[in-house]
Amino acid sequence: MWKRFLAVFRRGRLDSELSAEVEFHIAMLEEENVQLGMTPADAKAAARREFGGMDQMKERYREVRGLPLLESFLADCAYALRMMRWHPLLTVAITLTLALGIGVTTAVFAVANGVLLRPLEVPETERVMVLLSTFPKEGTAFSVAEGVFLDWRAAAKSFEAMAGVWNTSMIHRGSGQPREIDVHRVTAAMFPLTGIQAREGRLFVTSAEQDVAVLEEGFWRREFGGRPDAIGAAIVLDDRPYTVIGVAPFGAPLGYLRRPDVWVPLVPRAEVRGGGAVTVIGRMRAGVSQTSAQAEMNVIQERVKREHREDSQFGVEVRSLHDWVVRDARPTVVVLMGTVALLLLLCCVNIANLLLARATARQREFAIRASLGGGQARLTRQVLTENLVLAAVGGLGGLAVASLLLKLAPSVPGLNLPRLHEVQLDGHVLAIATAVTVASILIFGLVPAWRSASGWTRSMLGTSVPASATTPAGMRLRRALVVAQLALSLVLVCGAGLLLNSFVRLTGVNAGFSRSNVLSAGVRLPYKHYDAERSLLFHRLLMEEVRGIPGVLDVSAADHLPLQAVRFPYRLTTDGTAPMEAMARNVEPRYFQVLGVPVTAGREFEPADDTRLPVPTILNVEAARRLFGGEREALGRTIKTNYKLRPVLEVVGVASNVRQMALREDPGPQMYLPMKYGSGRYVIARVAENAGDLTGAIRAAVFRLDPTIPVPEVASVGTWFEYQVAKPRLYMLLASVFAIAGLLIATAGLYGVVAFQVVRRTHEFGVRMALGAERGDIVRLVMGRETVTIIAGLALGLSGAYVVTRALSTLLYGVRPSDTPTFLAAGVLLSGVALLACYLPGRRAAGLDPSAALREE
Amino acid sequence: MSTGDPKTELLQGTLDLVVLRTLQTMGPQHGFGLAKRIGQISAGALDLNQGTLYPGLLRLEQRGWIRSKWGVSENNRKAKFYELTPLGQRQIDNERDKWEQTVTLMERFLRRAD
Repeated sequence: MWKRFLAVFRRGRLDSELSAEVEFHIAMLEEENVQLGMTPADAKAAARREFGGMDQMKERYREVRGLPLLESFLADCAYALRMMRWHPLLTVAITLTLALGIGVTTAVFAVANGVLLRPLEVPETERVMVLLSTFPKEGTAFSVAEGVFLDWRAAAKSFEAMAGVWNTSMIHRGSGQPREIDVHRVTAAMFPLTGIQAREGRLFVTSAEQDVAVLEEGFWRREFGGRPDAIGAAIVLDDRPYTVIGVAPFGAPLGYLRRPDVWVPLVPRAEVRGGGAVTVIGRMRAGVSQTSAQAEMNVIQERVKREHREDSQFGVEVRSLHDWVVRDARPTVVVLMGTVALLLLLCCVNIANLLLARATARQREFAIRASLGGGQARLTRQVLTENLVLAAVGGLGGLAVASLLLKLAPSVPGLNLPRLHEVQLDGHVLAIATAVTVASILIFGLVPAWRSASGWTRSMLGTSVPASATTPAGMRLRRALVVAQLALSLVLVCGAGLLLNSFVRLTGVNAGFSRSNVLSAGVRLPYKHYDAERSLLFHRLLMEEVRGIPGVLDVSAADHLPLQAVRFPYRLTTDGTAPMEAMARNVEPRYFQVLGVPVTAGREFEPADDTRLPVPTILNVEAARRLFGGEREALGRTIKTNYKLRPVLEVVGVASNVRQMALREDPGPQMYLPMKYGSGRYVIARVAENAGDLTGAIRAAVFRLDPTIPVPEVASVGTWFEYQVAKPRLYMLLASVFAIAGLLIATAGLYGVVAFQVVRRTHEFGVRMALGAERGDIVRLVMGRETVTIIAGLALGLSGAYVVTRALSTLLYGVRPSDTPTFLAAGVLLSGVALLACYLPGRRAAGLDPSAALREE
Repeated sequence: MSTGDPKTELLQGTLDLVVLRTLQTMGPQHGFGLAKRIGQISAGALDLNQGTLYPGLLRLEQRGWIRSKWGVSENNRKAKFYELTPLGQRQIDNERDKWEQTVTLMERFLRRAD
């Protein structure tokens, strides 16, 4: 068997050997004949006759020698490659379309696989859960207080291991300037739970060890040059020394739990309750189901609620770790996949159309081959092989496109899906790519092949059937395909239109503050040296320093920046109205001036306000209206709050609404308090138009005040706006690209059909023009034929779009998925382009010289 | 490929045995010589047309019962010689036994009733 396979490839040599053998045989026969008395010439002729049918013998010989099926397949492939070279334009069109369709589909599937489907690289991931706190109103938070974690760990029997992770940052004082690094405080069980093993040294084992640290490989290489003597060395974090005991290798981040630079032990304190920062991970015992674990945890949490009042506001949810990591990415990936599937379908339909056109043009060629003894099955096989070759080339091109796209994916702005860096073309993806390629062959190859096969048996050589003839059924099929193409591309265009509309609305939202020419500097002060008072003093000094920088017009500070979406809700009550919740911000004087927010009633904060009583507050317009019915009415009124440090407030001013949370969220009631307490601090500065880059000057100011503080982040306040707009912009761009591609493909398809028709009817047009038809009549004739096609495409497309665009509703802002103006515009666009595709060939037909047209057969 | 016609297959099997046996008695031989010899022995009954000879030799070679080598013939021409392999030897013995059994069996049935 193996010999026969090899023989297929040794044809040339083996054929010449056979010829030599045959020659010898004939020569011997000749000799015999000569000895029998024949003349040399007669002897030779007689010898040949005696030998018998050479060609048939060689044919049989070859059948025995090789694998005829394989050989005919290879011959078909060679023929296919030749065909591809003869029709370069068609070949390039088909393979490019295929490569595009397959490539994009494969890339998106690779992303879907890597981001959503592939199990996490955590041992026994089916059993690893994350335990989250759930608040009835806000939904699910992530983390809990240390005391709660201890209670859960002690009581939970469904879990064989539980660990806590506190994601924080610390100031690392190394050889260079002090820098802020990511640190995870973890209990020792975290490492085995998430499958992290020591690369050097060891990891924590018990919670007794306190001042030890495990480095992450990247950090180890940067700070210690990858040297083994890092083990046992000391690193200083937040002014405390830790001894390095081990190094953990590079690894994948677990969604929100990014890989930190350093791990240090977490020693949970039972007395810490209420809100907290510990993320709890646990592994269920074998055989325990998620439902029973959830039930047990509910019971445990009920007990915790009863025993501790501060912990009574939340419940517990047991969620699979995998789900927690990928959940937010799901909508994006699903939409991507849907869009790409449409595009692939479009490509396949297009290719089917192209092949159908080519098949009809080749009818004569196939008729000849059929008459030479091809047989219908053989010819169908050959056409299929041709399609296979095209698909193989297209598939390879697709893989190239896919790997290029995947390489570019992580650097696409706004596409921050979890695990994106892990995405690669692995076995699963390649299998899918192959499956898609094969499926495309079946979809686009079978129809033309079948049509061609049945067409050949009917067509006859020598009749006056022109080479480009085609049956009415064939043209109907082509038209149907074009309708499908128009419909598909209309769906894509509608989707893109919706996303475009949404994006425009989002970027047009008035965030309520000035986004340009305002800088922010976030400074992190180490706890050890800066208590609340010193921290406040530092910031005020910094404000003065920054004020002195040339180019700076005005300076203020706030605990959080607009669009930062940090929520501090307080309950406000006033005489005569129901309690209301408002988000609070602590700000320094001139906050509103710097940010360009108009104060519509009353005044700004003044320097003395932070010690005044009753504590002054500035409400936003929304809060003023809700509590007091109007801006003027709010001035001078008193408010009571549930904020322990500042229970009584007096309204001294009302400011315009600012979107403090998210761009998509309408500003709710907000209140501003004078900066005195407050966790974060950002110094904000309004700068002149031509001030240039003041980052260095601001950093220098910080350095002057205290050289041991880590470098502050200096950025424009508008960055937060950009951050929120990045994803919608990405979707819009992607969708537009797909839509344009789809539109081009569909119109090309339509143009192809119409142009084909025009060529076929050249003779008819000649007759009409000779009989007095005007140019305009011809054009109208051509276009009129296709009206049905276009209308059918529109109808199908719009109804399809209506159904499909529902999937986009989560991504849209301010636009309904079935937004009529958008659909209308899309329909008009498609009709316009389609009509153009019909008009152009029509115009060409009308411009023909009638006598030349008449001569055309 | 064999046509699958049982009559042809039977004939093929018989021919294979004839060729093998001839090589066994003659020693290494080229295609022409084989054809002549077989024609002689069978007194013309086995009409070995070249359409079957060379493909048949190839098949025997594929099965490993004979092997081929290029050499020089008696009259100094280049020719391909075939010779029996040990596997071929064993095949002859197996087939001979089978034939003898068949002949004995058929004789019993076809013996004219005396």
